[in-house]
Amino acid sequence: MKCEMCHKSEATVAYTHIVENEKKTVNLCSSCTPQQKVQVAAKAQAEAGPPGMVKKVKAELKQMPKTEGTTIAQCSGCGTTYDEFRKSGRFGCHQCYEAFGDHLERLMKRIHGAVVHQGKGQIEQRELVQPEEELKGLRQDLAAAVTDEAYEKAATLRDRILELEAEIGSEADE
Amino acid sequence: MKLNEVIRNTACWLSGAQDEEGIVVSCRIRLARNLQTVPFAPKANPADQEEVIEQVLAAAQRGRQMRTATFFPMSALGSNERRLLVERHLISPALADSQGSRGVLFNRDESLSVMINEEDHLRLQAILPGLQAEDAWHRASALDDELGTGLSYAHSERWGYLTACPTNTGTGMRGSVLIHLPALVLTEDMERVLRGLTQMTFTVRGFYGEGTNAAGNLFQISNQTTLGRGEEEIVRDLLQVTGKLIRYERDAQETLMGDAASQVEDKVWRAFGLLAHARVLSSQEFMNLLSAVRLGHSLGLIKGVPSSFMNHLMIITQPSHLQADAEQELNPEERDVRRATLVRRRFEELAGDGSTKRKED
Repeated sequence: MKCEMCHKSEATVAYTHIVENEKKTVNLCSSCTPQQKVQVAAKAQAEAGPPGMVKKVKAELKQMPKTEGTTIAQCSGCGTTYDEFRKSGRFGCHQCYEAFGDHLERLMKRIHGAVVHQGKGQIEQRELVQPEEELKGLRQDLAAAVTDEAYEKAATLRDRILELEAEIGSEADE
Repeated sequence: MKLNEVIRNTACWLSGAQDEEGIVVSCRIRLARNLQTVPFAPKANPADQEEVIEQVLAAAQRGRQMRTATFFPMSALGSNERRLLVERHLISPALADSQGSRGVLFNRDESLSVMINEEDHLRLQAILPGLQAEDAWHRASALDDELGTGLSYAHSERWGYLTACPTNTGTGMRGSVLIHLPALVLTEDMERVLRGLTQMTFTVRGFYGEGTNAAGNLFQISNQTTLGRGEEEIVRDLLQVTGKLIRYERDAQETLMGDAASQVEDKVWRAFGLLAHARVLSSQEFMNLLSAVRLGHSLGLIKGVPSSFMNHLMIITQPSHLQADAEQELNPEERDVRRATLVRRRFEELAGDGSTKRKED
C-alpha cells in the first residue's frame, strides 16, 4: 500500500488518531509520519473545531434561514456577509453577533443547549499599579505610621513590604 | 529567555504533583478572548495582527504575572522550533503552521501562556500538574483579569465573551484533564466510557489535542459547551467526570489484577526492561511501553519510577526535542536510536539512585 500522504513510498506505519471520538487510521511511510503528524493534527483541528460538535454546527448552519426573507445581509463592522457566516461559521468581528443576532439563538441553542451567558462579566478597565510604585507608597505609609507610633499598622505594612520585595526579588532572579 | 534555555527547563505541569496515584497527568484551562477594536482573526489584516500583539504585550507589561514572560513571534522561529513549542503544549499545531504576525507569551515555569492571533486574538492558558483544575482556573482567571484591565475585550451581556467561532462563545473556556487510562483500554471498556462522556457534553481527544494520536493511553477530557454554564460550574463538572473516570480506571485495574495478575506484572516489567535496554525506540513503541510502566507505578508494582520522571521523558523524546538536543535534523531511524539512548541513560541515572525496586520479589 502506498503512503496516503506522499503517495510515493510504501506505507509502513498505521497512524491512529481520534477524530470526533472515533479512531481513524492513516497509512503512512516512515518519512511522512513524523513530518505529517503535526500537519494532520493541524488540518483536523482547522477543519474540525471541537470534535463531535463539527457535524452539529455544520448541519445547524445549513438550517439557518437563507438570505431571502432575512433583513440582514452584511455586518456593518467588518463586512462579513450573512452568507459568508453561514458557510464558514466564523464571526469577523464583535459586531457580527449583533448583525446576525436574530438568527443566532437557534444555532447557540443547538451548540450549547443554552442561549444566555453565565459566568464572568466584562472586566473593568483601569490602570494597574506596578509593584515598585506600590512599594514606594507603602514605605511612605510605614514611615508615617512609625512617626505616629501606630505600631500595629506599621507591622502590617512591614509584612506587605517584605512580601512585595520578595516578589520583585524573585522576578529579578529570572 | 532563549528557546534553548526553554528546552532545558522542566515545565511545572510535568512535576507529577497531585497525580491521583499516577492517573492524572495535568489540568489545563484556556480562555478565548478578542479585542473589540480589531477585526477577529478571520478578517484581520497584517496591520490588525500587529496591533493585537502590541496591545497584548503592553497589557502584559503593565501587569505582574507576565512581566518577565518571554514573547516568541512565530515569524522568528524555524519549523523545528515551532514544533518544539507544540510538543511542550505552549502553542497549538494550528498556530505552528500559520503565517503572519502571531506568537506566544509564556512564563518561566510554563504554567501561564498566551497565544496571540490564533483563532482568537488571545488564547490564555494555565496548566498545572495533577488534578488541580480549580487552581488552574484561578490562575487563568487572575491573568485574564490583569490583561483585561488594560485591554478592551469583546463582550456582551447576552453572549458573554465574543469569539471567532460560535462553539467558544460565552465563557470562551475549555477546561481539560490529561488522564492515563490503560486498564480501561486493556479491558476494552474505553469505548463505552467514551460514548458516555460525549453524552455528558464532554469531549475526548489525544495527547496533542484535536485529531491527534491517543498513543500511550493518554486522553484529554474537556468540556464541549461554553455558553450557559459559569466557569466554576464547568470546572466542577470536569472534576466530577474525572473523578468518575479515576474510579472506572481503578475498578478496571482491580479486575485486571484479579483475573490476570501475573500477566499484568509481566507486561509491566517487560516494558520496564525494554525501556531500560532497547537500542531503537519508535515514538509509538515508547509511548506504549511508558504507559505500561505508568500502569505499574499506578498499581504499586514498580517503585521508584516517579510520575515526574515519566512525564519529563514523554516530552524530551518527542521528535523536535530530540532534534534540538542533537542540534541537527534527524531522520526517523536516527531519531529512534537517539530516543532509545536518551531513555536508557535516564533509566540508568534513575537506577543509580538505587531507588528502582520491585515491590516484592
